[in-house]
Amino acid sequence: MFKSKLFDSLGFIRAVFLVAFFILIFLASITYRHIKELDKISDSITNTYEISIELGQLISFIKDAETGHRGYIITNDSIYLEPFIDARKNVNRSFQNLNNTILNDAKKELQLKRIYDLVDRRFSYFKNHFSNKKEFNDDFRNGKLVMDSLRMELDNMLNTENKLLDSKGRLYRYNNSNTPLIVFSTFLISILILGLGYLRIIKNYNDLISQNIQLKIFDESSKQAEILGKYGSWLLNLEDKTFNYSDNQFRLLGCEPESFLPTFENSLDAVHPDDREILIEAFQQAETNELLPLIHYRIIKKDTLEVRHFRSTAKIFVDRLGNKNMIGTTQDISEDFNKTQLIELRNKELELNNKELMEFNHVASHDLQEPLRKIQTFISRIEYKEKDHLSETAQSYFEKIQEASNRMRILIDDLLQYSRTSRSEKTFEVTDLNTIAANAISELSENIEDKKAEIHFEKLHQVQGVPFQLQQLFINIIGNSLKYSKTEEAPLITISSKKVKASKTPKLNDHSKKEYIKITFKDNGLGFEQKYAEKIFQLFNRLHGKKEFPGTGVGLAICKKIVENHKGYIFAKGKPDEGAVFEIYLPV
Amino acid sequence: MQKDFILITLADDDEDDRMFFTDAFDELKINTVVNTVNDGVALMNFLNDPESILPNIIFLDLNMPLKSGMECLKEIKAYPKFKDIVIAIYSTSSSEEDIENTFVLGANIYIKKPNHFEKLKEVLSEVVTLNWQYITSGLDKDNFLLRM
Repeated sequence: MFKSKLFDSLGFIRAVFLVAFFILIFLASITYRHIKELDKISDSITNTYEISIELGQLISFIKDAETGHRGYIITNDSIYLEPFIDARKNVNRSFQNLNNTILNDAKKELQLKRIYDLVDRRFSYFKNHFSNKKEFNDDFRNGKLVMDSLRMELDNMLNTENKLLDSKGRLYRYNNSNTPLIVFSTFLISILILGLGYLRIIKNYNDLISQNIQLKIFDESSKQAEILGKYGSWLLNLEDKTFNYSDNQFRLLGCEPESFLPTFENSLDAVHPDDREILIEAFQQAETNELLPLIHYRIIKKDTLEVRHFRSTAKIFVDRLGNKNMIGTTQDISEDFNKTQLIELRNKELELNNKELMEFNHVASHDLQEPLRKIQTFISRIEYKEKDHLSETAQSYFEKIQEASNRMRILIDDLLQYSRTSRSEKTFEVTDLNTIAANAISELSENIEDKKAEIHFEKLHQVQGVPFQLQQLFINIIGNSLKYSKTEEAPLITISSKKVKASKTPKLNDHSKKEYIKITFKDNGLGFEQKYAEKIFQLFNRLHGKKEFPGTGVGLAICKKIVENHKGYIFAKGKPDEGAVFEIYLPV
Repeated sequence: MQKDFILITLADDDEDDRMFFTDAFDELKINTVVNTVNDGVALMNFLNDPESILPNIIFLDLNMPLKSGMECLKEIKAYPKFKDIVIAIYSTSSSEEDIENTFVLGANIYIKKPNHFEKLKEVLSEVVTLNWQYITSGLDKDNFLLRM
């Protein structure tokens, strides 16, 4: 947008100056024409004046000749002949002048010819001797007649010249009065147009200045961004294969800004020898595709000789002068690259660990169980068939073998359940905790009846979870409470739930806006010392002897695992002989 | 003759297990004829032998050398001539994966080898006396694993 606006005003200024230029040319040409015309008019006026003056002189010369002739006739003194002879010469010169002045005007030439003939006839009557009185009288009379017609002819001609002078004068005055007006008005218009152009130029200039300031700000901030983001920008001239690097592009390569003149060839020197092909190929393709795809390659830093990982992308564009350039950006992604590599390594390790765990699981589920199963089956065979044949001591040893093998069976089963808890698929669904609690209670019904336990729960929330895991969780916790109950008091277990905000529950260490469902199991059993509150969730960890409370120490560890699978938290609070409270937080 | 006896074949590589199996049927006193094979290859050879009479129920251990129970199951289910044979998986493992896979492949019931001889007898008599025609039509994943 910015660009097109600039082009528009550039066009406008061009048009203004073009118009002004043509107006000035027009102005110059009409001024020249006017002056030329005035010159012509003034020339012809001068000519008319000259003709009039010459005609006046001519008549006066003829009159001189007449006067001289008369004087001589009367006095017969030759002194009067002198002006008469001079007059003839002067008349001839005058005719010469007139001929030069009329300038090939055919009408005037004819007039002049007639005048010349009349003058000639007049002079033919000037005779020095007359043979008789009659001849004298005739000549005198004829001379007068010729003179009269000559005068008429001359008046005629003078009149024409005067009329001409008059009309030319009028034209001259008319032209003289119009010329300044035309010149002045066109001049005014061109000044106006030039003024408009000037205003536009000033405005553009101011715009350019403010845009320049903005560009400088932008340039400065992009320089900072390049340093922070570890990227550099460059421009490749495709004609002469020279680069224009940004300051940070030099720094990324381990050089001082503008420390060398980068070309396509010398820029390859910094690239890792194994990766040069990548760049050469990509740039070749870019020239046909107009686009440099995202390429990854390594460079060796000039100052530290460190290998860094770069990625670049670029686009070809053609500027207004038709030059083909490539504008590109290069980023140093070494940190990301190294991190990704580390993560990949960790992932591989984890995968390996997982595989080992799976294998262990298989061993536990199959290979360990098989010999045990056989031992137990043989035990059952002996018990059924041969027990009576054993001595009393052997029988008690036999029972101990039976107990130990049973214990081993439970351990393996619990362990399997524990490992399955983390492996099983996690398809979360909306689960009603009331149903879960009811199912858990019915599963434990025998145990509950034995202990005469009371379990209360009402209006529990719904949660997102894996139903069979949640059921296992409820069974394990309720079962735990039933197991560690007081002998003298019937177990009483209450289950409640409420919605809490993470931010208001400091022990979750979760400062987000998340909400959790808090499920509380409270019993009146044996309780425990608070310092064991975390220990009880560890695998194989037990607070009591095997004789008092048989168990494997897996039950609560499974609970913890299930809660962790649900991205929740489990806490235990206890006081010896007062009971235990289990709090479970499951995200909403 | 075939009407009176239920023909049973067990494929299991473990000698002790084969012994428990035959002992259990001996004690059960149901009209059964039990024969055992040592691995999957032997089982398939037996089934494919035109001379042999096809069993009513095959008890199939999963973990066997040469040819596993899973492979045998696939092969048996691929032939229409074996379609009437009831396949009971008989394994130490009760992993979800094995149960799922054998169910999908078309086994009829899944038995986890018991730890107690008396229990074994109970399980085997249950399986043999089941009305299979009825069970097969109503088979689903929940009653696939035999719980006693």
